[in-house]
Amino acid sequence: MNDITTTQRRTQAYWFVDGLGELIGGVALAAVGALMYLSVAVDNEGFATMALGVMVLGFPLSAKAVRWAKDHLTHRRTGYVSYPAPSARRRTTSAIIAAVLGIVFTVSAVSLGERGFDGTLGTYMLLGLGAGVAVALAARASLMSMPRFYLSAIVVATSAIWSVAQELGFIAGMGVVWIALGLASLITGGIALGQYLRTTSGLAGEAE
Amino acid sequence: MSAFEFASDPDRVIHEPARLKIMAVLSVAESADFTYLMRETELTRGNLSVQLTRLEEAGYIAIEKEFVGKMPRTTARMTPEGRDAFSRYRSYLERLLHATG
Repeated sequence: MNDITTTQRRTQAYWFVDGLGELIGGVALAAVGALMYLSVAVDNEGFATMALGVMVLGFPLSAKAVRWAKDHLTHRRTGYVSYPAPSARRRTTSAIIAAVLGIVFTVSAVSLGERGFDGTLGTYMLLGLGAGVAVALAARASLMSMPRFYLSAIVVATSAIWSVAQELGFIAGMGVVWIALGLASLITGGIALGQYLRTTSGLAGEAE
Repeated sequence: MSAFEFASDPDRVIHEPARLKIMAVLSVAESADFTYLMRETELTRGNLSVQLTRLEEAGYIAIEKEFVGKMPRTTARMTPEGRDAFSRYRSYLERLLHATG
């Protein structure tokens, strides 16, 4: 039974084995974070618009880049695995959570204005989002038996707490959290890629 | 029911270790290609091919061949019958472990 579970876990974790997702996603995250931080630091709305642009265009592009890189490196080297789409129930739950968070975020921003948003509520939201992302990363680390995601979880939690202590406000604080997570992902992704290249051989080819 | 009765009951197609590994991979994946299955099972190309054919003949997996650019890719995916059989096999193992303490 343990063999079955071990094989299943290894297959589920295969997506993360090469670190490519973290490397490419890390660049996108750090860019969004830097633009969010700059929009507050130099008080220029242009950076906020650019951050939105990176989120809308950059994230899907980086997802395509990850697939391209995997096709040209990982799949040729150690094989290809595709994963089932999330169930309808899981998709519905995710959509409801996203909608509720979006409504809370929008209503808070509109009703409290910039000052209120950067006040107590902003602090709680920053801590809440930081804790949520950290817990999700820790859960991934545990489920996939990949300790490097614990490091990312610690980085997210620490940067959220630091941002609150520095009274950066919600937008700049989130910017710092994304920069920290992006840089941590670049480091962990780079180490994972190096390890993957060292422990796997070249082209395996195809036959049967 | 005794442990002896359980022992005479496994699905022989899945019970073989290499085929069980293939089924374990495909139980959590939409599909996996020949290269991945070869690494995971540590079988030779010829042996893996034989085991995949055996599972395909039992109706537990479907095999597809495609080209990705100029590279051929052979992928296997579990059929609904395969999913049922794998689930039954896991239940069998759990019952066996429970019965033998």
